[in-house]
Amino acid sequence: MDPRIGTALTVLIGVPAVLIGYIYLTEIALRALPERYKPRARPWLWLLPALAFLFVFLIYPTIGTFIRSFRNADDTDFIGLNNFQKFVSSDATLIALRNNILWVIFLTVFCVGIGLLIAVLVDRVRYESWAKGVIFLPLAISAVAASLIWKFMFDYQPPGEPQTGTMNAFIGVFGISPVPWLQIDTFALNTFALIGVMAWMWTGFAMVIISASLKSISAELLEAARVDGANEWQVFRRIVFPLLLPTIAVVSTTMIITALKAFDIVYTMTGGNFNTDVIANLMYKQISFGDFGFASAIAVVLLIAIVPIMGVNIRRFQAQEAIR
Amino acid sequence: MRTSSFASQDPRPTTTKIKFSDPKIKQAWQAFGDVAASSFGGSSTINATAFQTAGDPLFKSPPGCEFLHQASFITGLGAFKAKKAGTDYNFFPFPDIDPQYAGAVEGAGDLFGMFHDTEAAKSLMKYLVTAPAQDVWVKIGGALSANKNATSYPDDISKRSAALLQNAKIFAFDASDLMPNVLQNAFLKGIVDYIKTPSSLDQILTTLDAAQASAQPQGSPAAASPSPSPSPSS
Repeated sequence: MDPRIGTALTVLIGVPAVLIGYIYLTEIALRALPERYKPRARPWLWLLPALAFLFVFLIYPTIGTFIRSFRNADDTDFIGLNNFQKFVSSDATLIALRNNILWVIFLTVFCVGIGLLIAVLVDRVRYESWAKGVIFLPLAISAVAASLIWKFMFDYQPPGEPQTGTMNAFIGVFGISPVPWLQIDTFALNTFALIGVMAWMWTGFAMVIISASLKSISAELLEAARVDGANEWQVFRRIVFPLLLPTIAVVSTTMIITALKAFDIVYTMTGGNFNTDVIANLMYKQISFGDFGFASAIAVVLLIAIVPIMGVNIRRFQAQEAIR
Repeated sequence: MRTSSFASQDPRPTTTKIKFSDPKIKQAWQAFGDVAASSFGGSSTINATAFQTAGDPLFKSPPGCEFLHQASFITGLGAFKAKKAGTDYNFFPFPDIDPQYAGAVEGAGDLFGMFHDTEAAKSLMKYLVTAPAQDVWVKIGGALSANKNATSYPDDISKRSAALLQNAKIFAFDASDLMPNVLQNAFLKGIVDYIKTPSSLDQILTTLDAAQASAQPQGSPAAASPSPSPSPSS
């Protein structure tokens, strides 16, 4: 018999058995407590395994990363703020930082803007679910596969040769000579090309969430506005949009975090060449160079950038829960 | 390797203390840049093309390019795969530039490493470099052996490549394959940047000097004995 079957059985039966055993044991332990403390102690005991996992796999490594960010490449000595100084003084990191800012602004604007537009537009048509399905589909594609698809789209052949890239074939119809899209860093054109790929993937996500929120706006409210003489634009501007705002905020913060974490598309399509590098790819490179101190410092910068946005997101979620 | 002397002095360029901004190195970059500038499609095409398919325009009619500078392993990649060696394409060794360094061959290769110094491991290492063991390897194609008694090459191209390798006056292991990761990454990026903006060569070489200085000293390459089956560039 394949030993893996044994392992699978152990996991399938063993893990639930251990969990049930744990709860049983906590109940036995709780008997020792006075009656009035029991309800207060029980949830904590039940949460304990989850908290333990969270600590071992999330909090402990995070603390380790913070400490390592003040240490040298080999993790043998403390070097103060040197890694952070390197971060703010190197061209490569500053370009990556600039690109991440572009990613945050434009990915969010594209995804949320177009997602909102589509959600509102398809709300009124019969083929709504079909249209939403098509727009949502790219999100199901892995980022590497999507990058490869778009690599073909942006493909470049020298002028005069048959253009195998869709974009260059298209502009060729109008007699425009081919453009090496991913190599042109004037006005960060190539970074925008990469952001476009990510927007193509994530617009569907923004659309689906906004659309769901749109459905929850009661028809009576809109009808009342129309009866009062509001035109369609006013209905959207004064009623629909303010009601969608909490959802848009949540989707926006999710997109901002997605933009800050951007890695796979850049790694697959340009490898960070031609001034398209981003923070996450930079961090990955430092790990491959064996400079764990600098890699940790980059991770810390990224984490510090994300934390406030996470905070806003959680507050928004809680506010929304409170409304319900 | 073909324009100055350090390859003949030391076949392991990472142990060489020369800087990238050295005039000799700069001259080699410029020689490369001259060729790149007049290659198929120019700089945008070079940077937009994966090396596996760089030779495909050879087989167009009329051909997009006449020559491809590549190592022997290319015969298993791109359009070469479907073509017949000898009739559809052929090769000659890269011409000498400075007659002083004639007969230089660059190659990369598979390395054997031994983690535990045991009798069994030693005898395996000894076996791997023998002709029968190397024959198993070269028979597959694309690989060459430094062992002259390994003769099971599948075609004429491999046979001639092997002869070139074995009779090389200077053999240099591909420097970019030996560099520490941080330097290799900077080097490859430097090449891409140089193709895109040849005028920034000095700045690129300065960046590479910095990368070379920051590169972690790695274990001596001598620990892994130089390749028994390197592939000469052709």
